[in-house]
Amino acid sequence: MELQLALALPIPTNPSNLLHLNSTHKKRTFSQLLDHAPQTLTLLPLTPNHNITKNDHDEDVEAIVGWPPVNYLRKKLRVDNCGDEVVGNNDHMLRLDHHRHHDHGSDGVVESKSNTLYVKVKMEGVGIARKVDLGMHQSFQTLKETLMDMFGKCNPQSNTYELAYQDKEGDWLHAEDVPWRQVHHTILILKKNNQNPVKFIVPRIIIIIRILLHIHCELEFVFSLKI
Amino acid sequence: MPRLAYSFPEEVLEHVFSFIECDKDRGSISLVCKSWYEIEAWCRRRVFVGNCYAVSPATVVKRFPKVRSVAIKGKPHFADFNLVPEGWGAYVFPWIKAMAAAYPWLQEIRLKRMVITDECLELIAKSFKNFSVLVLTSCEGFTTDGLAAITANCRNLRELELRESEVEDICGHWLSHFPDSYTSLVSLNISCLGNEVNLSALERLVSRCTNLQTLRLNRAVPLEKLANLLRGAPQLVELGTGTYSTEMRPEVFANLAEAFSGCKQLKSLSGFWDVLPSYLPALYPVCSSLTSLNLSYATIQSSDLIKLVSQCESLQRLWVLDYIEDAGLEVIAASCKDLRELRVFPSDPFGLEPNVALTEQGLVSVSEGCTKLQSVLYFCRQMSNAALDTIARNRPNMTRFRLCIIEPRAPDYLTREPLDAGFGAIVEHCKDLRRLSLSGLLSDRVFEYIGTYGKKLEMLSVAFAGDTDLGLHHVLSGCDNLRKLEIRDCPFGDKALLANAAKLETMRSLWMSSCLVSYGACKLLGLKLPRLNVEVIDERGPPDSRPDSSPVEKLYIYRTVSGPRLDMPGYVWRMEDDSALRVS
Repeated sequence: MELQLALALPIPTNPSNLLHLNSTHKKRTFSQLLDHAPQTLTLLPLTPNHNITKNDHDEDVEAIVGWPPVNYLRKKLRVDNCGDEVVGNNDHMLRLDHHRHHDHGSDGVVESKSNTLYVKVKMEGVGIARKVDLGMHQSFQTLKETLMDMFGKCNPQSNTYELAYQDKEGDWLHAEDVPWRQVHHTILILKKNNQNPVKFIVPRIIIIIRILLHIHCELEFVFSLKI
Repeated sequence: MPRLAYSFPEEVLEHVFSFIECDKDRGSISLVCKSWYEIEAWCRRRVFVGNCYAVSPATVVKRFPKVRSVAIKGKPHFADFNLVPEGWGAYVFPWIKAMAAAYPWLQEIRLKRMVITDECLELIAKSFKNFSVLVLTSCEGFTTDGLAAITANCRNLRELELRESEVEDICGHWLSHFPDSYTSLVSLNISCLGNEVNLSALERLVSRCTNLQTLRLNRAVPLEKLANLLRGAPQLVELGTGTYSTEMRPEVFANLAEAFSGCKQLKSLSGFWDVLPSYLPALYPVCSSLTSLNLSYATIQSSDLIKLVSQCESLQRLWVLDYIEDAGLEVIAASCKDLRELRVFPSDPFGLEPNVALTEQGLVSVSEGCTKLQSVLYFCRQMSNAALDTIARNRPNMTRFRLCIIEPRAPDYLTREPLDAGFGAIVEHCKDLRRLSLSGLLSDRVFEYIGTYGKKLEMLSVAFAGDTDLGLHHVLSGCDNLRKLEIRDCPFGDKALLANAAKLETMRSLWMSSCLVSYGACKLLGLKLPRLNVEVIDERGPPDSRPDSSPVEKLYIYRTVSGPRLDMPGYVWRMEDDSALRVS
């Protein structure tokens, strides 16, 4: 399952809305979620046709060998700071397996820490992405708190934030409806199968404002799954 | 009357020659007459080999029997960007072996882009009693075990620098092999090592080596340990920090700030991985005397960068990520009036969209405000001919200009035209330009400008540019001082290369990859020019299995006095006199 997670702002009206959403048994479109949560910020991938099975040339990865001309230490820096382990993957392939056609295997990752499940998190308006180790969290609650700490721009009333995600069909769902273990497990499976990461790019804030007319807050979070 | 009576005694000549250090001048001296050739050879102490395959170790040791210091370069520059496959060559072992026999008094070895094994390091440690300087830049092939051999045996070691080398980090204890009596360290650079070194051994080493001037730590050294290290070496001139972040604790901060204040000689700072901005003020005491600042691993935002850099009024060299943004560069233009070199690296080189507000404007500002600016490396996502023209007119004193517009073939973003005129302005106004890297949308026109004006140009890097062979022809026929030319993904074929074949013997090397040079042309060049090694790198299999007209993947041509090399891997074919296939 393709997962795209987003941090949604609180639904300002009564909490029974949540139950209402849960009980409809119908998947909601983005705008439906929006109606219920005017401050919900969620994201649409820039490339809706992005396919998880696309192996080479993920748009975020070096599509042309050796371009732009940055050396391996700078590429590694980007891996470390943006959590994009595929760059490391690609880098490793280029450096050591360049002329041998190995499949990359689990040692294709530059940072081969075995129990980590790093996910890249970007916030609109902040140039620097961060990494979150999903393996360190046991629940959405702690994940939320970590994200809020990390970016430090959220309103500190932590109870009012919610996580939402978009599934393969483009429907927005409350993340907390899905057991944490399942999310974690799914991401682990993607990692083990050496699936290339699915990158979800933050759309421009202006576009968001057009869609979400009564939005007040500028927060948007995108998770991209890095293998 | 014997002519000898009219010449100076040898000792006098030797003494005079000892003042001549420049290799080129030394070369000129050696051409005067036979006795000068011999005397000069006898007293030459430093040798620089720009291409390890241009001459054999045996030839060097035979001609210069008393060398104390050697510098050798190996792989082509594009190896830094993964364009040279693994196992290509540049092995230093034959050099070490020859020098171990010929130069027992060798003191210094400096290598760049070479493969050096632990065996080589052990041989160095064993063979040279006075060994004092080992600098390995962008090298690979060795482990920390090899380093342990150096530290354990080289009693007179002064400099040990591993700059951007790939070291297999087996064990951090190699540093502890320096005996307790060892105190002569002047320079230590371990910034590229992945794992921790033994910190207490490092602390003891640093505090007993009172001549230590350069200390570049690696990322694994935690910030909490930095203050102690600095206290042990208040005489430090160049420092590279480790990780520059930890939990914010006032006592750690105060300790660090005090330690920095104690370092009155500090002129150069680098490192700064994982910066926590609130620790940056600890540096403020040293900022005003800094001449060199490398923040190119510091992922911090423009505002924090500005706060720091605006205090560095003596800065001559600045390396930074594009988080500095145009706003930050404007501040630099106003504050760092002594700036000579600026490098701006991309924080997100592979992203599709710009992630920072850095444009051509930042470079224009610096070119206006920093009148001594002469060396630029700039990664950005948009450029215009107008901006390049302004930069060129502002800074005719520019000597190195490397611009990388991240999107290949990106035109002038204002006019959508090629950037020919802009780069043309650069070569026209900057009459002392020695190094140039091009990017963006470029036609044959830009090469016409380069051939016409780039008379002092020594190194040119070209990617995704040009239309026809005429482009290459302009460069090869016009740039009188060209030494190194590296080209990738350009539509240059056989004509220009064959028409300017003789030029290739006046250059150190030519690299062409993903161009249109045919196998047949390579064979012809190899046949006609025996003093060149024409090497075809092609991982698709023997070039003979394809028609002569088929373009080769990669081509590396270099002049040599030693004939073809014997250590080529299976995917490199040399083009020589009779057979075009390597005899394996």
